[in-house]
Parts: sequence; C-alpha cells; structure tokens
Amino acid sequence: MSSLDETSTKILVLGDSCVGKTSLCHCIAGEPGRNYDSTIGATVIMAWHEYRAGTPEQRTELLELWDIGGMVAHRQAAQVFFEGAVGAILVHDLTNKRSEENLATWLTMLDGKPRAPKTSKDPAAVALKVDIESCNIPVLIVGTKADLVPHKGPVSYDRLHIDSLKNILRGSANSITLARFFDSCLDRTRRTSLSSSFFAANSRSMTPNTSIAGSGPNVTSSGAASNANVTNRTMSPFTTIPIGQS
Amino acid sequence: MDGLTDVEGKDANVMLGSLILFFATGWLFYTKQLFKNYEVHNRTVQFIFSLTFSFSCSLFELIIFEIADVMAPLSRSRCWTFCLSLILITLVVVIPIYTSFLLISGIVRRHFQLPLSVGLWLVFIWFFWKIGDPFPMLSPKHGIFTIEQVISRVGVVGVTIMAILSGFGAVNAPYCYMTIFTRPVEEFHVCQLEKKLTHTMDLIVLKKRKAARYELEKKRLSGEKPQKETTFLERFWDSFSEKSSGSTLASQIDRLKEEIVPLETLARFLFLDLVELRQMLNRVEFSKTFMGIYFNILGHFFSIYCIWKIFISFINIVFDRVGKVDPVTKTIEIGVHWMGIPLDISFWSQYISFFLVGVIAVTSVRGLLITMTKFFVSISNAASSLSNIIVLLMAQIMGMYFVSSVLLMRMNVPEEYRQILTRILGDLKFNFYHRWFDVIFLISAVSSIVFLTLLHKSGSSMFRA
Repeated sequence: MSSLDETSTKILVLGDSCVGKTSLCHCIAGEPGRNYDSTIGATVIMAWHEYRAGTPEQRTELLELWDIGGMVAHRQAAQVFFEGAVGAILVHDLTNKRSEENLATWLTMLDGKPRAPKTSKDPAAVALKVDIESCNIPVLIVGTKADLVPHKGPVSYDRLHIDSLKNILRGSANSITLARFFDSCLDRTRRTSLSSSFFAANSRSMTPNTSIAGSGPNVTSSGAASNANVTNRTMSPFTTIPIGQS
Repeated sequence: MDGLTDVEGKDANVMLGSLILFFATGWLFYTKQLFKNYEVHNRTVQFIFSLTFSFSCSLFELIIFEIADVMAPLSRSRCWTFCLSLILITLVVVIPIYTSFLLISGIVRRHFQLPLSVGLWLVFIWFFWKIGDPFPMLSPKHGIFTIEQVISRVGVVGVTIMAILSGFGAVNAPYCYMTIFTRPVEEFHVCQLEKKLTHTMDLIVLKKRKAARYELEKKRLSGEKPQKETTFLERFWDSFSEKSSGSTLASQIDRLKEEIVPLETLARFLFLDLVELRQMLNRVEFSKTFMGIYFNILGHFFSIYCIWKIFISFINIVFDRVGKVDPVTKTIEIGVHWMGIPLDISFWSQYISFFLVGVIAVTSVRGLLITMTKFFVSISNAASSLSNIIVLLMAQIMGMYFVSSVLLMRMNVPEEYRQILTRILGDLKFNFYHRWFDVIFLISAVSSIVFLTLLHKSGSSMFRA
C-alpha cells in the first residue's frame, strides 16, 4: 500500500474546559489513557476509520481530531482553528449539567447563528437549545465520564455516552453511531469534490446524518456498480488505493 | 428573650430580616457567579459561604445604623455583640474545622477522619494564637475567649490582606485603564500571528499524517511476517549498517515524532501570544468607546489619588504620625473656611460620614466579590474537592477582610462615631492597625509597580520583534 496518501479529514472536538476532550480523542484513536494535562491551543490526534465498513466501498480513511482547549479566556483566539473542518464533536461532562448547556455557545461559535444558552431545568428544553440540525456541518454530541454516572438511562440515537478510559468495543451502539457520524463527515468531502465530477450521477447525494443502512443499498444497486466503484476510487482525489489491492 | 419591649422586638425583626436578605444574596452569588460553569455538589460549603457573607454585610449595616441612629441604642449594642461573636465563631471555628475535614477526608479512611480533623483544627488554633506574639496585643490576663483577643488577631490577618489587595489594586487600576500603557496593536498583527499559527499547525498535521500512515504500514508488515528475535549484536550492527540507517519504518516514525514535539511547543506559545494579542486588541477597541474614554480619564484621577496615598503612607511611617483628622471633618472644614459656605458641621458630618461609610462598604463588598469571581472562575477546573477548599478559604478571607475594614473604618469617621466603634470593638490598640496597614500598603504598592514594569517590558519585546 502506498504510504504517500496526503489527505485527511479535519474534525473538531469542542467543549468546555475539563470535560474530557483529550481523553475522548485518544479513546477514539484506540489508545485510552488518563492524566492528560489541560490542552492549550489545539492538539491534533490522528485516528483511523473504516469508511462504509461492510460495503464494497469500504476504505480506510485517516481523520484528524482537532482537540481544542476550552478555557474561557482562550475562546476567542481558538476560532483560528475552525477553518476547514468538515465535522464537529461537541463534548460535555455527564457529571456536570452546565457543560451541556454551554454547548449552545460552542455551536454558535461554529456557525455564527445566535443561540441563547439560558439555563433550563427541563432536559428536553436543554436538548432543543443545542439543535445540531440547524448547523451546516455534521455535529455529534458526546457525554464523557460515563463511568461516574452508571445510573443514566439509554440515550437517543444521535448522542453518545462514553467512558474514555476503556476502548470503544466494536459493534457496540457507540461505535456504530460514531462510525455513522464519521461517514457523514467523509461523505461531505466526497460530495463537494464529486459535485463537478462526471461520476456524480452514479453516487446518490448524501445528506449529513443519514444512516448507512438506508443509503447502502441505494449505491450498490446502481447499474455498473462494481465498475463505478472502481472508477470512483481512481478518480476521486481522496483515494490512492490502487485497484486490485486491499 | 422575655421582657422584650415592642421597639426591641421590631429591631430584632429588622436585624433578622436583613440577615436573611444578605444570606439569600450570598447564596445566589454562589450559584450564579462563582459556580456558573459547574454544578454545586457540596451544599454545606455554599451554606457556610452564605453565612459568612451575611454576617460580614451585617457588620457594615450596623455601622450605618450607628451613624444614622436607626435603632434603639440598647438593641444596637446587643446586635453588635451578637453579630461580632457569630462571625468570629464562624471564622475561627466553623470554617477551619470544615476545611480540615475536607482536606483530611480525601486522604484518610472513615474512622480517623473526625479525630484527625479536630487535631488539625487545634493546630490551626495554636498558630492563630501565636500570631499575636510579635504584635502589641492584649495579654492573656484580660481573658482568653473574649471578643477583644480574637478580633485583635483576626484584625492583623485581615488588615494585611486588605493592605496587599489595596496596594496592588491602586497600582493595577491605572495601568489597566490608562491608554498610555496600552501597546499599539492592530488587526494585521493578529492576522500575521494567526497565519504563523495556522502554518505551524499544518506542519504538525503533515508530520502526524505521515507518522500515522507509517505506523499503519508497520502494523500490517509486522502482522504479515513473524517477529524476528534480534540479538543485541545484530541490533548493534544494524544501527551502523547503511542499509537500515534511517530507512526502517520504526526509525522514521521515531524521527517524525521527535520533529513534532518542538512544533507542538511552538504552536502552544504562538497560541498564548495570540490570546494576549487579542486581549490587547479588545482593550484598544474598548478605549475608543465612550466607556473607554471615561475610564481613561478616571484612571488619570485614580493614579493621582494612588500616588498621593503612597506618599501619605510613606510620610506616616517616616514621621510616625497617625492621621488625626478624618476626611469628613476635613472636607467640611475646607468647605467652611476656604469656600465660605456656611455649613452646620455637626449636622452635615453625620450625613457625609453616613454616605462615605456606605460608599466604602458597597465598593469593598463589590470589589471583593468581583475579584473572587475572577480568581475562582479562572483557576477552578472541575468541581473537585480542591475547588471546595478554595471557596472556603475565600470565605475565610472575606470574613477577615470585612472585620478589619470595620476596624479601619474608625479612621474615616468623625470623633463621636470613633468613640462608638472603640466602645464596640473593645480595647484594641487601633493606632497599631493603621500603622500596620500603611506599612503593608507601601510594600505591596512598590512591589506591584516593580512587577508590572517587568511584565510590561517583557511583553513589549514581543512586539518589537
């Protein structure tokens, strides 16, 4: 396999100070650990991801997780890192309700639409305030320190509760949601590059946050399926995996 | 409480009502300002903080009542004794015991927690007593558990804290608000720095990408062929042979990782510079608004006042005099003698000292709360036990600060009210406290000037480069 692949996808990891963003990034990358210092500025952590795992289009893609320090004094300066991101993970601390309410502030920083982070006791109202559907890039909300709140009930399909000290088990609900999110981010990069490509007609346009299960059969059922896949691979600037290998 | 007359009952209600009001204010301040980013897990700490706050504010309230002659004198003195003893008990018993309990409960098991925390508290009491030794305090002949003994020691610590904070504040306020100290920062400086930072981050990402792909390939290669056990000699020769120098995947990965580390440090420093530049830019923009201009002019007056204050405390120490005339009477004298305004001294002195005490009380409460919020929000990272201990320490400092400001208030009010305060606070050597305040204020102001000059010089070198 050629090791000169020069592209990777930028995904931001945002949240208040001390919610566990750095631990979460290392957990996603597969090396969970503890005792990380408070991040100043941004650190980039690389993580491998199997794009569209289980379909003929499966590829290994590299993600850059930009772990951005959440200290209040640094917030204005941290916006220099937002350039060029195709997705965002908003992290909050499950033991600290205020960190979830402050996610609205981070969302406003991302897309500039004003949202008032007014405190509210009703969890449904808090969830509505952080309306990620209105944001123009795919957003995933993750709650960390799940080992400290074992009594929490099941969550909705688009949120995760993660214990960053352990590996994310393959096939668990968390890993599926995470994979779906990363796939939607990667779809956005493919879609913008293929929009002018001749083969755009073959791949159905993906809207962010759609589930893979719904869209998988659509793509593979197109007429010259295997041909399209092969030529997609060589024509798309995002892959350099030579045909016939892997 | 039998034999209460109607008036006394009303006075007691007024006192109780105001105590509850202050308690509620302290409670709200705790949740809305101090802990605005986190949940409050420990309600006991919140209760203790609000209790200290309410007693401290009631002290100021009682002084104002004294001057304005609001309640009956007997109930006033009862309230004084009540409030003073309660706040002193809180400062010396409640807060230290709970602080030592929090400190110990993180370390030791359940059984030993209570006796060890009581032991730590006794150590604290011993040190507290020993504070009185180098200073002119009352000898134990006058009784150990009286208000005078405790308040004299609390006064020393509180006056020291007050003087340090005033000294630093007196120097820092003009530095922050006056425009001659702001550096000329413009938007394009910020853009330049942002470009540098983005470029560094791109370099980091490039190297990390390469390292990640090499690692993936290394994993695949090592998965395909079995691990070869290399002997020490073989590895030794390998490190010299040209075939493998720098071309094995592992060495390339290591080399990339080594290159990444200084880049990340550089990125961190650039980011911190960017934060500081943005703050400077915000300050420059603020100084162009009306509020900014207003604060700038205020800063000029304030700097004159601070220079005068530093000068006066220096004179006080050198010539060993304690100010005899308070500002209220002095102002009225100036008004009467120099400007010829016919003022009734005794009539106006009450109103002016009432106003002055009110202003001092409100500004010191507000200033302390704002400083505490800024300090706490900036250093507290998570709702851990450490932040609870910090809040308790802040409550302790707040209580001591307010008690000693009551003590020092004597200097600012006319003669008849001075006697009232002397009667209430007991037989303390007040002149000592004023002298001590002047000394510490001078030391603090001078060291802040030195510190801020160094800071300014080190910062400006960045802009020259």
